[in-house]
Amino acid sequence: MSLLEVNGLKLRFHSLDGPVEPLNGISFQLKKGEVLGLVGETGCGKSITAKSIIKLISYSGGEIINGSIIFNKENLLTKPEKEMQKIRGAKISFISQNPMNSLDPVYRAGDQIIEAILAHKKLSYKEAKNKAVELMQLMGIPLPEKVFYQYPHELSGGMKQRIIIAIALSCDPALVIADEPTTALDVTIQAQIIDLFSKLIKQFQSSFLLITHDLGVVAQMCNSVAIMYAGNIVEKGPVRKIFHSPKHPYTKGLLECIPKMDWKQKKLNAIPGAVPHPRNFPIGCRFSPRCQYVMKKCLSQQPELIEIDNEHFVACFRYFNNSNGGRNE
Amino acid sequence: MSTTSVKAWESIYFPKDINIKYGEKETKLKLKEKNQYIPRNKSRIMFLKFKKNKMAIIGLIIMLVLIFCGIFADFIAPQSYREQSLSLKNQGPSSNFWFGTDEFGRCILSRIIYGARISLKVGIISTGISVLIGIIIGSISAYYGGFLDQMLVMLMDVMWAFPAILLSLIIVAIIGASLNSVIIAIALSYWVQYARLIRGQILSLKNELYIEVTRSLGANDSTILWRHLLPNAIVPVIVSATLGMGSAIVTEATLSFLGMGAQPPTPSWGSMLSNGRNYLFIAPWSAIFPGIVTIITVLGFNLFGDGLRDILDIKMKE
Repeated sequence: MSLLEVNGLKLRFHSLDGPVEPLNGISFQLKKGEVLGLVGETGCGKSITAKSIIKLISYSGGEIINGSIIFNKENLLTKPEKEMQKIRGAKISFISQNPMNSLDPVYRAGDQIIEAILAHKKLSYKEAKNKAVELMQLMGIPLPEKVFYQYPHELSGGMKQRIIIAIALSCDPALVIADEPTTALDVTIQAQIIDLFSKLIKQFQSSFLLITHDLGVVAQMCNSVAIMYAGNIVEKGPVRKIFHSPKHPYTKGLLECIPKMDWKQKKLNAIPGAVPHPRNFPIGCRFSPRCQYVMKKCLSQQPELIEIDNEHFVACFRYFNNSNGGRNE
Repeated sequence: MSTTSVKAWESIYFPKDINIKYGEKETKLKLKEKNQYIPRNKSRIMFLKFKKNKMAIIGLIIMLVLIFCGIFADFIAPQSYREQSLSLKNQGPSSNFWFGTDEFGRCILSRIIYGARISLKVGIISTGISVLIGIIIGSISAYYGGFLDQMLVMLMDVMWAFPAILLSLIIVAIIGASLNSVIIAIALSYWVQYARLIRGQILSLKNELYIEVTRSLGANDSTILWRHLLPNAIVPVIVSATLGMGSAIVTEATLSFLGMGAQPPTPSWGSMLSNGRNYLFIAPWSAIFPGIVTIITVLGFNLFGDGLRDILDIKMKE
């Protein structure tokens, strides 16, 4: 049973040079208790996908023009803003990219957790405070009673991210969307936060949508992965399958970009080129200009996601002629 | 942490055989602060910061004296502000009448003390009203944007185009001369500066990440606007309002000087100046003292406002 179902999501941003459509009909499912990693380069549409799910994209100037987002069997796109406010934070919560600016500088850390709790739950201030301190302990914050009374500028980045995670988990949401939760942190803090996340995933019943460009994080934490490129999902499936037998050339490229300990070669592989701007997307397969296996068909037509193995989907013409398994490599 | 651990720290980092250049006491204090958790009291730090600013202290003292005079005018004024003795009119400063007497033989010192009440009332109430109007219009304009914003900005620009005194004069002329209409007039002519200030603040703050995060946690528009945007945007408005109180007092004095403000025998500094002007060559004190007091008061408000600007920085550093 899927908790979240995104079908054919299309966005439009209005810019001075005319409309831009950065997402090209994205579809994916998230089961209850599943941890899905959404991976891709900068600018491929991960964050706006996340923002669309909680319908915050309109505040960034975007507009959902097509598709449906079904959460708990209800289409969120038809819900009025008032009902969305009850869902945000309580059922779907969002952890943003940069912990440095995510907390309101004029309130104490603890009060911000309490505010999130009281916004959705009918508790007294004292109960909420106990819960907040409990949550802070759970997040591994040393001396939670002290941190409770500190202002955000007195806290370190890792500490702020812990507070933000505490806020996000304060109402036991069914779905947690984490938009690059470790990107802005030091490597050591990153490791701590990832450990914390792994612990929390086991402890909470929530599903997680983890947006990242760090494949190591995905391998450690996720059950399944969706690889995004230029507004498309190019490959999705269980983590093991993707990491052991990546099918799409982009996924392969991404995996080759990770330096390995036992490598003899001195130069790191890189995918040539960069993600095109949404205004200049190629007509055919959007990865075709950077793809080493590019065929004639790729330049004119867009491949669709096909299932080449159990729950393993790929959008690449190299697997089209042989529909019962990608063996023609 | 106990003091013993502080000493342990000291012995590690400051062994006795090493000469420590700075005073021993200072080191100890610094170490204590580092090791002990002292709950940070925002107001205490503000007070310490404020204490360093001598000018702001002077401003505060002037304001406090003024407030004291306003509240306890009945007890500290040597006479009633309306007690006339025509035989003693236009007398110079003496031991009986420190600031002299005016053309009706009223004690100028008493009238100035009672006048503080009027000035304070006008300064605080009119600034309060205009800040309130400014905050509401400015923040709504910035937050919702679009057509509403354009209309409100246009309104602000129109109001801004008039000099405040002229606008106040027009308003007083329409609703009639009295102290209350002066307050309303000042409030209606000064709100634009606060509205513009807060609009600019909120325009830049509403794209901050924490606002988006708050929204992603299910906050509605009013929570975001009044609970999260306003407290972040308010500091320059508070400072500006303190400075604005000074100009409100001046405007009141101006309007009273022109006969549009408080009506006799109400002792307003402006009307005292205005009356004293007629006797400038016979009894200059009846104009000079109210003038000096007005200047000092405005100076006090401005100094205090400047000090506030320094201490109301959210990211306070010790």
